[in-house]
Amino acid sequence: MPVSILIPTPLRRYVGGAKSVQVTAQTVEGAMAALARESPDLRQQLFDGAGKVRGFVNLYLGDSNVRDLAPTLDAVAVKDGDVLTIVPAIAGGAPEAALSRDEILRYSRHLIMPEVTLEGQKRLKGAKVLCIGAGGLGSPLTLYLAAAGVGRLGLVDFDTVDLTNIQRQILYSTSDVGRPKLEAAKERLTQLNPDIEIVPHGLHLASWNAMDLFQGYDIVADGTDNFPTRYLVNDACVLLGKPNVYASIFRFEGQVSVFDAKRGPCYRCLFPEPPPAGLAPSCAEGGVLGVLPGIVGSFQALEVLKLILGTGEPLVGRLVMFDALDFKFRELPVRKNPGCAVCGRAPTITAPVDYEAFCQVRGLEPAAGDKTVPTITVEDLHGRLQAGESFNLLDVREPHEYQIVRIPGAAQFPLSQLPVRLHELDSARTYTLHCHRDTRSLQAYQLMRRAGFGRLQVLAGGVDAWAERIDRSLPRY
Amino acid sequence: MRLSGALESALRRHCEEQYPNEACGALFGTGDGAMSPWSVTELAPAPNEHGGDHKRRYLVPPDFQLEAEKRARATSQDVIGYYHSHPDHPARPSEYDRAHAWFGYLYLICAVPNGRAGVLGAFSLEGQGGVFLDVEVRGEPGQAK
Repeated sequence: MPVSILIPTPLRRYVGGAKSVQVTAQTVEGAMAALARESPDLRQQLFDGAGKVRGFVNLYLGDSNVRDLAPTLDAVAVKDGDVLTIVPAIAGGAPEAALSRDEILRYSRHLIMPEVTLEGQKRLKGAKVLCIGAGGLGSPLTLYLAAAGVGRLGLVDFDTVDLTNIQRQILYSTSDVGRPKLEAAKERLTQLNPDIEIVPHGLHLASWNAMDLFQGYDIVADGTDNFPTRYLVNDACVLLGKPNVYASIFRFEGQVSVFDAKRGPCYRCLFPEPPPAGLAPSCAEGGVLGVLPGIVGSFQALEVLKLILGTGEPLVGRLVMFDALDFKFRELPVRKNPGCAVCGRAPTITAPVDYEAFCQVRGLEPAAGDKTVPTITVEDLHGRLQAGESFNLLDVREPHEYQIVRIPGAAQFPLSQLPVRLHELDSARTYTLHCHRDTRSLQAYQLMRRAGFGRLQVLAGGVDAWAERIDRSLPRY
Repeated sequence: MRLSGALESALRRHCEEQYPNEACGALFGTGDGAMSPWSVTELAPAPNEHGGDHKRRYLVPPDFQLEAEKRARATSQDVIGYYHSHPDHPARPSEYDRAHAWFGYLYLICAVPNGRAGVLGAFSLEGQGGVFLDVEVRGEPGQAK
């Protein structure tokens, strides 16, 4: 049967530049053999040593790929006027990350593990991980990811190193106090591993910049301590289809999970709404045992590495809680919520939203019915005390904090005891409430307002502002 | 090799859209790069159907190629080559590109550092050993090897 074979551009040089060649054959195999007789070079391009069509050449009879028609070419008959099209496979791609001699030595303890090998180490080198927050969790996280050879590490933070950070943020030294965190972090991580790229993003993560920023990374690791950022990171990751390796810590307890909405739940499936403002104290308010972020941030690094290597069982659909005091792990199954606002069947969130408003963390939040919380500045309080005015100053911090620093004349009324000690106070009198900064004094304010206390004010900035701006001889914590 | 500004913009846009994954597509046109210079007259973005990591691999689906060949014949053009992007890598052919390249095709590679299209390189496979040579773009000198 006469059939025409259409020749693609790269193969025309073997058939005198012809775009198509007419042959006579009964089967596709016969037609190709007839074509191969035209040119030994073309035979070499199309057939392997055993005479089979090479894997990177596709043959189409009409609109059908011959491979889909029959297992062998001789089983595909051709009829008069059939058109055979030769389609050379087109593939390629960016260069693979290669390892230098020094890198092979550096990662040798990885390379000899069957779960990693040279292939896995190249994957680590080709991986791009964005760490949100270069603090307590971000310290072990970035140190271990850099040490493990993750090729590009992005860091988001806009803080400077503070002396109160050093107790747990092992990325920094005492000599770094006062420096921008990212500057100190880049220096330290580059010393640890000069073969990787550290990309500092000294910005405040917001709904308008998160999507662009995350775009350039494969995995996002959230080590922040506030709800607006946590929801923002979650939503942007879901919208971009990127896994979010999440961890958080408080006092003696840590949590870890992997939120990958492509194959499991997201953070919103677990917590659709943030807790009311003030109910979730930060590390600055509640404290944290220095070693805890070291442990939990290392778990986070572990999960990031597993995701890159594609090995083991990632913490998808599971929330692990670690209680350091009892040394107990608890694992909670987390199910994907079909009604989830961002990863559910009918999502209502299709772009990052204004998280500050969503999480109501605008600082001093008025109680229900109040337009504003009455506040007094430390300067005002100090001036009026000097002028002989008297204040009923209530310190709602815990007794062990009172021992660190106190404002002269303040009475101790720890927030935890306040509900049962309200009867000691007179609702007709004016009280000035303060805590370390603002969070607990606001809670105390709301509690007392509900109990009928009408004349209350909050000392803005708390004892910390007092120690910073009024009596600089006092310690800060 | 000739490529109009409008086509180049479309190519760059496609590469940016696919970032961080590799974009790929067919180049229609005339010429063979030897007797007559290549001239790109049309391009067609293709889906990337590589079975592996799309961030550094691409595969143009054969069915797409068949349709491209049909279109070329119907419009008196040829499929003169293919383009693809290198997200966060230079616009130079990789060893993998070389191993999978065909003589006689024009290959355009667009670097996409951090999601923004950068240098566009043009290459063709030449010589016995199959070496990529730079192809001059729009009469301007190609990048030095």
